[in-house]
Amino acid sequence: MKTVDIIAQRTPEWRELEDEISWFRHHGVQDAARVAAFAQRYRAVCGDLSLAISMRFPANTTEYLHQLVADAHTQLYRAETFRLRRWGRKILVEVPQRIVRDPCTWISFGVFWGLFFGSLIAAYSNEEFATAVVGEQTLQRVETMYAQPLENNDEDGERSAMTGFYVFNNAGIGLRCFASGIFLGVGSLITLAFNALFLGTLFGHMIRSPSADNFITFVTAHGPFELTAVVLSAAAGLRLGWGLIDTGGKSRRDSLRATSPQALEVAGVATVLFLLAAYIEGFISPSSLPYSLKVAAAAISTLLLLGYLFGLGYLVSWRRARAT
Amino acid sequence: MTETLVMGSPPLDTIITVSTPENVAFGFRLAGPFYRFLAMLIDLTLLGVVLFAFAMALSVLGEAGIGLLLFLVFFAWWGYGGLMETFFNGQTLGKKALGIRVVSESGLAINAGQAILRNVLRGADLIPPFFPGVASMLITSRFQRLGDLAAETIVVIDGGRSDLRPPRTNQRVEAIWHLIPARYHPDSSLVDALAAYVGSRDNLSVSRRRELAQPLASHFIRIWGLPTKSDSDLVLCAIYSRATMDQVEVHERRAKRTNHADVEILDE
Repeated sequence: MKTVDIIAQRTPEWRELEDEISWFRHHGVQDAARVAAFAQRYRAVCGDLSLAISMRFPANTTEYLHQLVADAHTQLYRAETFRLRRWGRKILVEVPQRIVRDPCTWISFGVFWGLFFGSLIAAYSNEEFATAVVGEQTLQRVETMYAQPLENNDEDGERSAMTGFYVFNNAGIGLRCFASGIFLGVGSLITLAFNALFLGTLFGHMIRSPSADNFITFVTAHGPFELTAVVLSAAAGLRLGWGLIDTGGKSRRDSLRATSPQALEVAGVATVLFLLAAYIEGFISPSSLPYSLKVAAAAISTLLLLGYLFGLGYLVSWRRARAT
Repeated sequence: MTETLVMGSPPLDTIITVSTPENVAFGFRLAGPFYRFLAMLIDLTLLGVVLFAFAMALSVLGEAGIGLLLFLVFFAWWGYGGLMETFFNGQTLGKKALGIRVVSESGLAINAGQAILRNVLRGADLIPPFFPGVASMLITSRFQRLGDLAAETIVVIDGGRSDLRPPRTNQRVEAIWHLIPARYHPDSSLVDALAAYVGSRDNLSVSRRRELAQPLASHFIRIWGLPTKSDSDLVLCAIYSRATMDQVEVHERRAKRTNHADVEILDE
C-alpha cells in the first residue's frame, strides 16, 4: 500500500520530533536555534497530520499523529512570562480606579458598616441582644482575654505565631468569601453579613464592659486595614456574582470570563491588606506601646488606604493625560 | 461534490478539537474527574509531607516557627497550584505524575492570571457537603469545575502516545487488488471505516480479523465475483489500498509540480 510507504518514509522524522519534545520537557526552551528547528519540524508534521486525515491513513497512525502534534503544540506555545512592570502598573493605577467606580464596592461597604453599627448600637443598648447573637460563652471568653491591660511580656515568638495564625485565618476567610461569590454573590453577602453582625455585636458589648479600654487599645491599630480588606473581599465576590447576573449582552459564561480576572485583582489587593493587618495585629496591637502610637498607626493606615484608592489611580492618570 | 474533512458526526469520546495557527486541527483528550481527583490527592499528600517536614524543622524555633508554618500553610493551600501551573506550563507535581495538563480552552497555554484564578476558586468548588466543583465537572461538556469555567481552562491528557505500527502488506493483497474493478471508487465513509479496520487489525488474531471482515467482504466478493475462498481480511485491505492509492498518486503529482514543502488539503 502506498500509505505504508509514506508512513515508512516519514516515521524517522516523527521519531525525531518525539525526541525533541522529550528534550524540551526536560530542559525547557533555552536554545533558540533548537526552537527554530523544532518549529520547522512541527509545521512539517502538521502537514503530515492533514495528509493523514484527508487521505484516510490507518486509524492508529492518525491517532499517533494527533497526539504528536498536540504534544509539540504544547511545547511550542507556552505560558506568557510574568511581566512585573505591567502587573505593577495594573495594581497601582487601574485597580484602585476600578474599585472606586464599582457599585459592588459600595454595596459591600454599606452592608458591612450598616450591619456593623446597627448591631453595635443594639448590643450597646440591650444586653440580651449580645447574648442572643454571639453566645454567653464567647462573651465571657473575650471579656477575660481583655481583662488585663496589654503588657510587653510576650516574646517575639508568640507574636510571630499569632501573626501566622491571623494570616492563615483571616486571609483564608477573605479568599473563601471571594470564591463563594461565584454563587451569584450570595455566598459573599452571607459571609460579609455574618462577620459584620458578629464584630458589631462584640464591639458593642465590649464598649460597655469593664475591659473596654484594653479592648479598644487592642483593635485600634489593625482596624482600618482589616475591615477594609473584608469589605474588598466581599466586593470582589459580589463582582464575580454580578458578572453572572448582569451580563451586558454576552452569554453568562463569557460574562463570567470577562469579570473574573478583574474580581481576582481586587481579591488580591484584599489579601495584601489582610497580610498587612495580620502583621500589625501580631506585633503592634498586643504590645504595650502608648495608645497614641497605635492611633497614629491607624491614622497612617487610613491615609494610605485613601491615598491608594482615591489618590494613586486618579493622580497617575491625570499626569499622563497632561503629558499627552 | 465537495466533501468536508470532518469524518461524519463526531464520536462520543471526550476529545476536543483544537484549531491551530498552522491551519490543522488536532484532538486533545480530556482528563475526567477521576484523573483530576487523583492528581489533587497526590498534590495534597506531597504538600502534607513537605509541611510536616517544615514543622519538624521549625519546631526548633519555638513559637515563631508555628507562625511561619501557618504562613506556609496559607500559601501552600491558596498559592501552590497557581504558582506551579504558571511556571510549569500548566502542571502541578500531581498532574505531572498522572500526565495531565491545564490548557486554555483554545488549546494554547495558560497565563498566570488564569492559573491563580482557577486555583483560588477551588475554595468555591470544595464547599461541603455538595462540592459544587464535582457537579460542575459532570454537567459541563468539557469536565470544567467552577474555577475552570471562570478562567477558560480545561484539563487534558498529555503524552501517553499510542504506539506507531504501520500496517504490513503482502503479495496476496496485491493479487486481490488487481481483481477490483477499475472504475470502483469507494466513498469516504467506507474509506474511514476501512482505515479504522486497517489501523487496528495488527492487534487481532487472524481468525478474529476474518470474523470482523467477513460481513462486509462477503458483499464485495459477491458483487465482483471474487474467488469465494478469498480471505475477508485481505479483501478489505485491498479495497483500502485501492482507495488510498489514487489519492496518493494525485497528491504526489501535485507535490512535484508545486515543489512545496507544505501539504495541501485535498477535496474529493
